[in-house]
Amino acid sequence: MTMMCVLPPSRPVSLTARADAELRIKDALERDISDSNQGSILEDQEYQLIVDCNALSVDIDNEITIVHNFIRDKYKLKHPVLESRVHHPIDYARVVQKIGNEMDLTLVDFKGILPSADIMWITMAESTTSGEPLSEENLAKTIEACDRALNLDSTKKKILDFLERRIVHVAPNLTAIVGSAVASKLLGTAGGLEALAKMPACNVLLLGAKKKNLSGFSTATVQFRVGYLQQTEIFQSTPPSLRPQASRLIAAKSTLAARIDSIRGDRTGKAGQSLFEEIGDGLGKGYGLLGQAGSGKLRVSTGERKLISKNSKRFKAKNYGSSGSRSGLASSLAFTPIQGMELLNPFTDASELPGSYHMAARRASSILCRRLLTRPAAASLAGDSALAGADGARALLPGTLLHGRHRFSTAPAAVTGAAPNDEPIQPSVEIKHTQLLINGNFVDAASGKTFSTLDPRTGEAIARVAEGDAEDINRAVAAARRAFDEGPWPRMSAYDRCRVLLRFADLIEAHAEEIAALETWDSGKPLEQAAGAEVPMVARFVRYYAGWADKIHGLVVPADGPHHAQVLHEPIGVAGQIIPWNFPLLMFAWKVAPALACGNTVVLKTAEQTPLSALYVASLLHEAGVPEGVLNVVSGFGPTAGAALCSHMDVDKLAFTGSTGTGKIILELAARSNLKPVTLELGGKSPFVVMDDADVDQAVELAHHAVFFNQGQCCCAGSRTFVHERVYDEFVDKSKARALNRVVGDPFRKGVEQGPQIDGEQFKKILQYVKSGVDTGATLVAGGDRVGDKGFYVHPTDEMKIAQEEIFGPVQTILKFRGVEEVIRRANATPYGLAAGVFTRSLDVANTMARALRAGTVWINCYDVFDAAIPFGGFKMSGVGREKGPYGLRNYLQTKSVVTPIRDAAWL
Amino acid sequence: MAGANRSSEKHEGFEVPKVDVKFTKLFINGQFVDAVSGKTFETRDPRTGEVIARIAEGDKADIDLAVKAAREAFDNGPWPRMSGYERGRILHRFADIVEQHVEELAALDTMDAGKLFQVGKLFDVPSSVQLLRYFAGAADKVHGATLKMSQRMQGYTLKEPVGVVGHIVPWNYPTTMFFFKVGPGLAAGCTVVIKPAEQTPLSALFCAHLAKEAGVPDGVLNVVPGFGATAGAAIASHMDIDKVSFTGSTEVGRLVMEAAAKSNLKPVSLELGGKSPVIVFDDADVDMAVNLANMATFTNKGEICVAGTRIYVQEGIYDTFVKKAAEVAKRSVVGDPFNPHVHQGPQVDKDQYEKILKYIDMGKREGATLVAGGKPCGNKGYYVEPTIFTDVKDDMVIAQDEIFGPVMALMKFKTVEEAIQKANNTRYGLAAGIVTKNIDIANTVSRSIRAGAIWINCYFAFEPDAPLGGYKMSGFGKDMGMDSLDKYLQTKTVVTPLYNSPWL
Repeated sequence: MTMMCVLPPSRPVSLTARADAELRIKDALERDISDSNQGSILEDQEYQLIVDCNALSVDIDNEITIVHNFIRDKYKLKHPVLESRVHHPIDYARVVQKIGNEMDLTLVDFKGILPSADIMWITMAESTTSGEPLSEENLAKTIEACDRALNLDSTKKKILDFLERRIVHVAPNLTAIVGSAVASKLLGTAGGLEALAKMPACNVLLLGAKKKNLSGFSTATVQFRVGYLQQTEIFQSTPPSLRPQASRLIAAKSTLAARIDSIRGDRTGKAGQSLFEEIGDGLGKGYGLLGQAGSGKLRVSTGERKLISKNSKRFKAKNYGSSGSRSGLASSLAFTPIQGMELLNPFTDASELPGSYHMAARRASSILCRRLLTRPAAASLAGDSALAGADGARALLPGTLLHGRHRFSTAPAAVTGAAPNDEPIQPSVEIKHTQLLINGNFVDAASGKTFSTLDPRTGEAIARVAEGDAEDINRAVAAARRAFDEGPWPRMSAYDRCRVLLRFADLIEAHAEEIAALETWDSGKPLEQAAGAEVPMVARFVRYYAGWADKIHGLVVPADGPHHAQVLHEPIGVAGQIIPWNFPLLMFAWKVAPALACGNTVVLKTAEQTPLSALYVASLLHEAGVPEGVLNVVSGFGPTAGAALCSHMDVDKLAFTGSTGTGKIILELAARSNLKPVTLELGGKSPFVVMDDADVDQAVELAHHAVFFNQGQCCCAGSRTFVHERVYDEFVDKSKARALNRVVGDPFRKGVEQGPQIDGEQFKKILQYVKSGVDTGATLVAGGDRVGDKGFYVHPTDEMKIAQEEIFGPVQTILKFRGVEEVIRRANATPYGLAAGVFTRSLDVANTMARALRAGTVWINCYDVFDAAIPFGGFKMSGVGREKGPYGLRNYLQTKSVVTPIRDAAWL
Repeated sequence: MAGANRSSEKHEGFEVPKVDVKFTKLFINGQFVDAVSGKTFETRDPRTGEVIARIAEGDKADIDLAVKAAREAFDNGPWPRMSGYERGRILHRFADIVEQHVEELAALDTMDAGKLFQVGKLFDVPSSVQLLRYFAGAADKVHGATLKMSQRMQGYTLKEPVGVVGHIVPWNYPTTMFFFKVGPGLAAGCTVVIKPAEQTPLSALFCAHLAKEAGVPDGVLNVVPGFGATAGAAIASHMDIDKVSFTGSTEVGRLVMEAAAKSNLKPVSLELGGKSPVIVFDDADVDMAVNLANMATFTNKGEICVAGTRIYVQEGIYDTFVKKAAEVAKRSVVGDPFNPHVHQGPQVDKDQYEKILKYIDMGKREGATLVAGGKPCGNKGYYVEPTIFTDVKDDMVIAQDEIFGPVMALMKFKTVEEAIQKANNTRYGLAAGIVTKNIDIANTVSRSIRAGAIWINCYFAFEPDAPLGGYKMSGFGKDMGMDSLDKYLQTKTVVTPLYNSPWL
């Protein structure tokens, strides 16, 4: 716990930056603001300042977090449970300041600092827990830290105030509708005006929305989402019955206003004002006509026809599209650029935009980068941990400005580690298939909608992919049903099915290079891994199950009486399969190969992050001669396409690989619909146990791969490394060295071991976990922060933390243990049970552990061995059923007992 | 009479594919080599009795060399140390290459064994390819078991390749038999020394060449043509062969087993002769039953171990059946097997031809009634007419001995019990056919007959996944199916004490 002993330095460097910013703010206030209508908004000094301020406020936030950690770690001795009730750093600082070393809390007046319920709780808790007063010196330092936190907070407030006041200058039309406070929050969260302007209204509606945990004994865990737009005056003054409609209207109008602002359309704010009035009109008219609002009224064109087509072409070519969240909920409504462009101010010369836009963007980024280089204040405060940038979501940052299409507001330019420099390597593969594969044809989604699939290296769109939803699932299931009920596939001989699959495997090998490149492009995994291991494994799986097709045996069973009884294994029917993004192709093979070998037909939903490789290989399967309708691939999102598949009454079987949370939903949907059997392969928090007799070097290397393989995005990642105390120190040192040696970078580059995380959501989640690890007292010995200024690269991280949750990222937690029994108990103390690794030279320990660990796979002196014939699946909440090997066939076979009397049987 | 339709001497209306005989030497350790003795023997075309080629004649010295190569390949070579998947991939390639040479292989077998070319091309050789693919897919599906030990023990079984395997195959289905043996042997990870029949060495040598092309390592597959008394005996009694698998006559099977017992007690599997019954019940569709029975007897000119040569017909339809069976037999066209209109080619060689005619003569003398055929035909080659005897008694020689020719013995029965009793009245137990629409009869009879394969309302229903092998003196051990892999695997049980296991 080295970091806990480090005292805050007397003057964090960032204070200089803060002072500097304050100076400029003052400056700007004194200056007469000239409203320049020339060029892009990005060249506007005023706008620059606002951007800087916003970034600064994020920095301040980070610093507050670090100071908070410091205070908390010190003050824990005095009041151990305070942090569990008072979460907010500033509240915490205030309370600490107030209490000081006072032991009787009834004497402290918390009024105005905490709600009365919290006051009561804290007072009570104090009487039941044993805290000790702090030493003079520590108390002084803690109080000083509290002062600093409050000081930082007040500076931040000033900056935000300023921002709010100036926002009218940047986004006059938006402010006219939602007011300056909400407008600044929207801009901050969206990642700038440009990003906000490109966001569909439905996503804008969700900005700032938080899932809120209800307190007390309520069984409901989440409240309805309330975003920033719901904080607007116009929303608050709307009668509750009209609020859903109102929020939609406000979102739509705000989006339009933001678009006008983003191209500096109308500096007077009149356009915004009239939009604001339209909301009122719309709501007025909507009275009594609920359900008819949004009938297209918003999409009246006021621009010239000529301009419209121009814009539409330009945007098409640039592949602009819906931005914002990747969550299925948000993206299930698509956005076409032309709808937004129709309301542009016709006087704006849009054709000038691109050139100046990029120049300005570059300048903006260089200014900010320079400033941010002075940022390590946070780092010095927290020992050698550098957490800044982890929570950059609320900043107006050049990352998002520079890359207009960047959908992730989690892309700060806060560069700390070595960046994966240079331009991303251009993959040498053409994207041939982006449509849904239904009944042997590539078709558009019924709705016509599409979504972007992103390059995790840059966050930029690779392609737009048809977005399947319930209607497309219906079509796919109908095709699969027909192919099963009437088509040749289940009726052809097993040998013929086997030959189709063998041809498929040959075709995969023939196209291995393209497939691997596509996989790397879409999922960010190292090309060497995709080409060297995964694509051959896919061919291997397909051949394995091709070989099973003509060897599916039932038993002839001994009957008690004069009966002849035999067991037939028949294909189960239409199989619905949902696969994750971490191993798109392998999961395709795990699911599709056994299902097809048994004679089933399949509807497969790929992960929305990685739809490309499945479509490619599915076309190869058709080339190999699979009849139409036998394999249908629907790209889309979980809540729409996935849910439709799970609750479909005509799907006979479900197989899912993904998170435990989603697995539960899937099982529930299956139960609520037609009780279809479900195979689940879910999350894990697998232990990797290193005994004191193990070869430490080998164990370090394998433990390293067990957790960092595939960017840590493996369900069976050995993410809890238990190391015997006798080799612990050596192990940690060597693990640290190994982790620091890990080559993180562009997955297309040779020698790169680790690419980017799959997307912004994962990326952010991982960094939050790292932060929480440090917060709860773990020592961060390597990594812990972002790599590079683009994409989602994370340093491999080694830390000690008793973790229960699946992080799904390159985070290794190293824990110390003393004895076999202890480690068995601790290794099993998890809701998961997917896999385990044991490192020992002792035969007896190996045997004992192999039996005692409650996990679906135990690897002894090895890890991640995935032969086609070795069954894989989870104990406990890691899943239901097994895949691979002969066990994998069972998922796709029905069992039918056929019994008939036998007269004068010669034997029984 | 049937003779009117014969066209054995003319090549009108059909083409004889030109096939060069490329491989006539022994295939040992990846090389085609002459016999140590330098001797050769003739292989003849049964259509004409003329010599096709002279083949290197392997004997004990050559078998020793072949075993040495196979031993080396097993003990130190890559084959048993490859993963099942890799072996499977090589066998898949082997199957692909064989598939590209279907016509050549079929032609070689037609020239060498008098088999119908069309059937070979469309059925026999493609089935061999299918069989090879089946075992290619089985190579990575050899499973041991973890055991339920009743003490504090951890136990499991390993299935390990048995080692060097000796194969001796017959001449009636040269290509098919080659893959019956080599497919599972190679899939299991064994190395092989195979002796094809001296009558039909050509296709096996050709296949050896294809195996090498597919990437089967040197020494893994060795083909030594030669005679049973020399090369065959050397295999059966070799001290360094770990397993011998033989398909052929019951008499020779006995010798093979004896030699194995006298040498190193190597395990033996034998697929021997048969005198399989086909039982036709009153409720059967007579035309269907007649066609089935004729197919069962006359397919491949009766040279097939599972041939259904004892036809039992229930009395209600007996007379109709006899009449129709004779008609079908007489319509059968005997002639050049390359002619696509021909139903039946020549017997494999002069010995067989003479043996069959002797049995026909014996049938006549024993008092059976000849209703069709009974004579040789053509003035060249070894052609015999499809022959049907009625009024056959169970104890007549033609009802007891395997004739291995186109000779059917037709018999009458009254009840189900009688049919079962008669059908089981044989020293063989390879296969049986049942023709009935009644599910109870089908079930009862199929359980009651002591034979390794029961075909109900069908016959010769061979499938790669369906094991085939005999009861009684028809041998033991199965070919085809996953059962046949077991022949080439040893089971090793591994046990170790277990401490502190949370469950047992």
